[in-house]
Amino acid sequence: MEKKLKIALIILIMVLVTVVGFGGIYIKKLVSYNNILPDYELGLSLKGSRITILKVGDHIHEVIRDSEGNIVEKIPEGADENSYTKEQVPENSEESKTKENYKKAEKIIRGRLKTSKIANYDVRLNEENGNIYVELADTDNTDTTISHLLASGKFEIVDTNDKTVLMTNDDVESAHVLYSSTETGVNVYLNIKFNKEGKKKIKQISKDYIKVEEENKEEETTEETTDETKKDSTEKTVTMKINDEEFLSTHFDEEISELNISMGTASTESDTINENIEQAQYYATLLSNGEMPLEYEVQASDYIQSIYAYNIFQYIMLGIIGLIILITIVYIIIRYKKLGLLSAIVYIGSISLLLIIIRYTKTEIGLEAIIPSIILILINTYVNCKILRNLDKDDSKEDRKAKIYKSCLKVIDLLIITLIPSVIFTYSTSSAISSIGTLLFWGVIVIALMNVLFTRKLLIEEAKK
Amino acid sequence: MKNINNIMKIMIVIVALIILAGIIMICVKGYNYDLLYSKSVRMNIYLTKEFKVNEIEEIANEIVGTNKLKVQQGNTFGTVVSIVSKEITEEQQNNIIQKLNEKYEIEINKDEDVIVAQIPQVNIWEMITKYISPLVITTIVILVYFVIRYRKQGIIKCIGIPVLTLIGIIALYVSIIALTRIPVNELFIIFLVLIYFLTLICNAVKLNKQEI
Repeated sequence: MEKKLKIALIILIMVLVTVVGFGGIYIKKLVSYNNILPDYELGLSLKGSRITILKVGDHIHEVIRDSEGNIVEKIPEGADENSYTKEQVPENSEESKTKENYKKAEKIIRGRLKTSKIANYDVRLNEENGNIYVELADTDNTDTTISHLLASGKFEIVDTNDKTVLMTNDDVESAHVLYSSTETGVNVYLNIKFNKEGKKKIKQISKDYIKVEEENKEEETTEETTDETKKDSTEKTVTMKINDEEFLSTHFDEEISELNISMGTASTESDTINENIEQAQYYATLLSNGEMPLEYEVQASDYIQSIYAYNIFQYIMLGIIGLIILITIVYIIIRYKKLGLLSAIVYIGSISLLLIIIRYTKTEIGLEAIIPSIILILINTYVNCKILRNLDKDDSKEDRKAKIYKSCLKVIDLLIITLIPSVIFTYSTSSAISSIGTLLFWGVIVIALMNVLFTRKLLIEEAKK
Repeated sequence: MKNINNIMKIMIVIVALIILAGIIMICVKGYNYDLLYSKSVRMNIYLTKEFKVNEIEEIANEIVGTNKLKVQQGNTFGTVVSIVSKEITEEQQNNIIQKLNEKYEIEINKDEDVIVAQIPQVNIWEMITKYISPLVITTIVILVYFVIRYRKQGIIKCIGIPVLTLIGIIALYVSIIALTRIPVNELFIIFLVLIYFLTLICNAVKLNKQEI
């Protein structure tokens, strides 16, 4: 009686897990019933993406020059217009529109996406006209990412007074974001590392533009004898420009070989810290990948649904996976009769439990999910067959325990070999690859646990003696 | 036993021939890329009314006169449609716009509401690159595991055979895809990775059996 009760209880648990896994848990909210389980997260391949076409800019700018040939923003009021000349200058000259520059622009765009840690992207260059096709996941930050791709990334350090260019992108090796915690909060820094030539230049610049302090002893001004020190600083400074905009003007306190620029002020508020980090990351991305040889503009940027979103293919794939599961379950039942049926019940429970875990771990479900699905089905079938193969209907409980234990030892290898790629894939920066790892990992854990906890228990309880 | 050896030899020769033919095909003609991955024309149309993808597909098919086109829905409001085809001539573009105007009783302004762009072909290596490092790391770790766990069976069985079967089966798969001209898209990579996993698992099962 107790034996039947235990079996019935396990079957009931499996039925409950299956109902929840496939159906969900519905609770009445106001007038309708809502599923309280989280929705499945669809991956890029099933959802859609932002398709952006960047074209080589063809705008014409009007450039105004004074009588000495200097570029001015506008003709000052009251000035003689005849002494100024106006030129129509294209933003990209015909000479700059070369295949080499198109390829360089594509390389920089790829570099910026990589440095920004964008996981899934597709970049294609039209070598004939320089247009670049960029496909990205559509998120809250996609517009910001696209605007970062368009920035010129031009970097210059100039003498503030005479505007002599002292350093350019050619001197930069890479840029990074650094943090430090102080009493006033977290400081965010933009760290710029220079190449060999750049290091020489920055060392020289930091010597030439060092803050000079002169100590002048002042005469006594009161009856009490006090020495006052007055600091007099030189005005020789450098200006750092990014994207042709002045970023900061400074002089140096000591000789340096790399630059650490504080972004904003130290803060304890997470919003301010994040803002500073984003800003620093933006500049780091630009400086690490060089200056764009051409100016680009967005021709089109639209969210386009995946071709598989409403495609019959999606249902065919689901149908094929369902059919494979059905065939394996039917095989187990026909081959091992009653014992096979008990195993099959836990098999279905395992799939249902995995579906619940996928919802809670927010694992992306894309076309890539085909890989772990098929592997897990085959492994679960193999594990079940391995356990059932050695059992005899006349086994005692003790015999079954020993036989199941022996079978479990044999399949451990297979589970370890599946766990290895699951862990490696999970840490991939690509969300599609990472989801394969996550699915495999949880799948192996579920298979191991369900078979040890339930299949084993059911098979032992089923033994006659 | 002799028969099995002969069958094995014949099988190896057939596989080698398929791989050789596949390599020649890849060098001469390359892969047959799926439309969304090959050089194509993308025509984005901004409509002021909601539409059904199959209705637009019907119109586009009728005008472009080929089944080799794909229609994708744009934003969540369903007012952007993207038609992708190998080629859409100026005349065909105008005809599509005219038909859409008639069907949905709207007025599409070609200069403002339509964007046509030439899309270059995807580089197959770029599709594979992101999978390379996790696959290489996995292979190395699993081979090390094989060597430690099944050291009694010797280095050839632990490393040589798994590596050879992996290379052979993957080469066979890519050759068959090239020879049969099956369109290359995301599924090509997905099945490649699946085959890789299954080959490793089969090797593990085989080593495990021999150990017992």
